[in-house]
Amino acid sequence: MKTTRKLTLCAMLLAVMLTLGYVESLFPVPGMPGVKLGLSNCVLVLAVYEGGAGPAFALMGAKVLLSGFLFGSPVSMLYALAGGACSLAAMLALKRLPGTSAVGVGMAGGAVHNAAQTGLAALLLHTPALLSYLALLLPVGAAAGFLTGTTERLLSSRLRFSFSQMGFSDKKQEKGTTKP
Amino acid sequence: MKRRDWTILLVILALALLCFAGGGGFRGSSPRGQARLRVLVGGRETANVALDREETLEICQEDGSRNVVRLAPGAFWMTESNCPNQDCLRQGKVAVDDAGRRALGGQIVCLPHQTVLELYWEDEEAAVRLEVQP
Repeated sequence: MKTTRKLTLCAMLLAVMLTLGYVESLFPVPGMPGVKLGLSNCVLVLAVYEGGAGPAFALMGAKVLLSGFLFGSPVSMLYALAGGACSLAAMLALKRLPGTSAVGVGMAGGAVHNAAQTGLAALLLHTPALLSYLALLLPVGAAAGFLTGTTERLLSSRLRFSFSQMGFSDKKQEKGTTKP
Repeated sequence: MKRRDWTILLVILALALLCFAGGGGFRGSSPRGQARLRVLVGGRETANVALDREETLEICQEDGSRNVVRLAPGAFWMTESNCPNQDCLRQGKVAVDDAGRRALGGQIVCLPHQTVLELYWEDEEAAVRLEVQP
């Protein structure tokens, strides 16, 4: 029963991610090619904090696959996967670090996402000069991550109850949250 | 923002500064010799032309990928591409005077077609070599 609930919640979150991803692709940032706000990352940061590694990676993989088939190409899928996997791994690692919050973790996620994609582009195109674009993309990624992290904090306090009802909780993995 | 969040932000900004310095951001560009356009497809140079006249360059690949570049004295820009995202068209014009102010510097990149258009300066060394050759 709990698994069904969890699956349903993941499916709903995936739908939100796909919608946000599509909507933001309609509004490219002028002057900065390929730069997006990464609104769907809000859901991913939420999954990192509320669901843990499993659901977060499942959501990221499904999002990359579906939006690649729906709106993108094999190449765009490859870039999305590189960015998504690296940023998720970084976020999950930093979340374990004491003294961090969703805001800092989101910033790191945004920056790592851009770094991974630029690194892949430099590798595939054999053009290391592209890495200097990171001087702009790292702070931009951090700014976008600041927004997604802040959104996660606002959402999580309001959604925690519904999430735990749906069996979507990372609490088992955390210290100090055992039942009294 | 917690304490460690600030550390994360500082690390990101320091890395960005490093990339800026590595990319020659502090040196500034010192145009030397003739401005040229280099076309790289998948890392291999497929065309190399001087930016001294009006010209239209068509880059066709075996898989049907097609990009059209317009050249003018001291400038170039992408006018057509059959790629899905059309990012390369939105990257605008690379001009000799303002390449340093563009986000991508002297480059226009079409990721789906693995195509890079790159502005470079035929430096003095190359010019000397050309003169020596009969």
